[in-house]
Amino acid sequence: MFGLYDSAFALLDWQILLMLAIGGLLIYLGIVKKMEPLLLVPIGFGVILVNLPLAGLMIYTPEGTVAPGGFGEVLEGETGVLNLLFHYGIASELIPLLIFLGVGAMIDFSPAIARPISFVFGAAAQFGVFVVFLIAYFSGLFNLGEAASVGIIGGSDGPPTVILTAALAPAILGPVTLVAYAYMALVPIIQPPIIRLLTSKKERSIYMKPQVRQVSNIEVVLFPIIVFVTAALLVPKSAPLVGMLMFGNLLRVSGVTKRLADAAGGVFIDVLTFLLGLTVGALMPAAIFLRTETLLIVSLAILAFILSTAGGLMMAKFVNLFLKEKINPLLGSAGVSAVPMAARVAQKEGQRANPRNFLLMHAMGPNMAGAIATSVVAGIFLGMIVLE
Amino acid sequence: MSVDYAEGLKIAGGGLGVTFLVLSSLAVVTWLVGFIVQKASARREKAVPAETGQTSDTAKTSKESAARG
Repeated sequence: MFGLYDSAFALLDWQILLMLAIGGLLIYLGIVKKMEPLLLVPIGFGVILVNLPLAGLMIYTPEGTVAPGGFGEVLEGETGVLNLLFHYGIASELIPLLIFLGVGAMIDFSPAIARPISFVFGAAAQFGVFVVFLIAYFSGLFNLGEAASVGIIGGSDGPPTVILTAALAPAILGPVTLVAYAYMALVPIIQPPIIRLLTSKKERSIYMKPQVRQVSNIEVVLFPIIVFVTAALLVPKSAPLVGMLMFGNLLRVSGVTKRLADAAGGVFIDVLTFLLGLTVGALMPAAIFLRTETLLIVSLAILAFILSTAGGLMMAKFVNLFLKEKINPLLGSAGVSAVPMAARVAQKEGQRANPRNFLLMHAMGPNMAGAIATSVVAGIFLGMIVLE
Repeated sequence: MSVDYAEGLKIAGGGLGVTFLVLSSLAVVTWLVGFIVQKASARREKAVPAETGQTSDTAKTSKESAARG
């Protein structure tokens, strides 16, 4: 009667209501506070979708894993449409890889090419990833794969985090991905206190000339090919991530594939982003998300990010010991690959210390190098960790 | 959950080391390519006026006048 035979009201409990509130909060943060809206709005809606009782958009097994989701199962009503997206899009690593292609098509690597030492800052900014990996693993609460997935959040790059977690720790893919994307929006809040703690005003005031050098077209075109070949030879497991990033970039810089680059960096990446966001949100049913493990992941991720920022800063200060023309150590803090927020923070802090400073383009170099570094780190973990 | 401390340290230490190795290699290769390209273009710029017996400024001026017809 009144179509209420299937009403789900009776199944609402406090956990589900809390998750619906969390989904609503994410949508609020995205729409009202403009915090990563392209991600938080789909993720928030995904959280609501999966937590509505009987909606059946994403089905879980009694063990808490995502139920198989082939076309056959969906057609027979055994599983939800989001199961399909999860298995073919995320568990297969297809969507994160294609997103990286789009990211490559939007990135200008010229600042990193003009100042190659940026790559060293990108490497130093992975310090927090490995330290937090150790802390998480030694705590005994996470296995090697889960510890690596929690640690790599410190690299602040979504696609490598998703790929690594999908491969090594699918059970925590939901919270890890949510934390990885959500706290990127917190970069302007987390980084400045660490920067001010580890650098003096004099160091932050170091003036850098606006232009390093003009990068020629041939360098820009050779760069993605050389980076891919070098990284794939040294860390073969990083080839899919670095390859997609560099292929996207080659489309951008080749000068003859503008349409492809525009497509990859435009509507293509937008479609993939909302599919990813929606599916990631759907990985957060109350029974899986509301565990102390999730809070622990959030805390460890913030620690990883703090240590990574510190690693980049300290490396820049160390390099300055050997340079005649000193660089501003804020460039090191931009080595975490939260593009372009970390570079913006460096710019803001640099200008606050010395109004003449304009560090944005300088900081974009380490920022881009950080994106490559995080992909390499994901490849290293994938190569070194063998799950039993 | 049993913890293999040696394995953890091996992955963290080795991983960070390899990260530095790869990124430093990229820095060196990028610098080297830039160096070679800059040298080559400088040599080319020098060679053009030398072939025509002109300084680079006069070569540029005559090219501009030729283009104007």
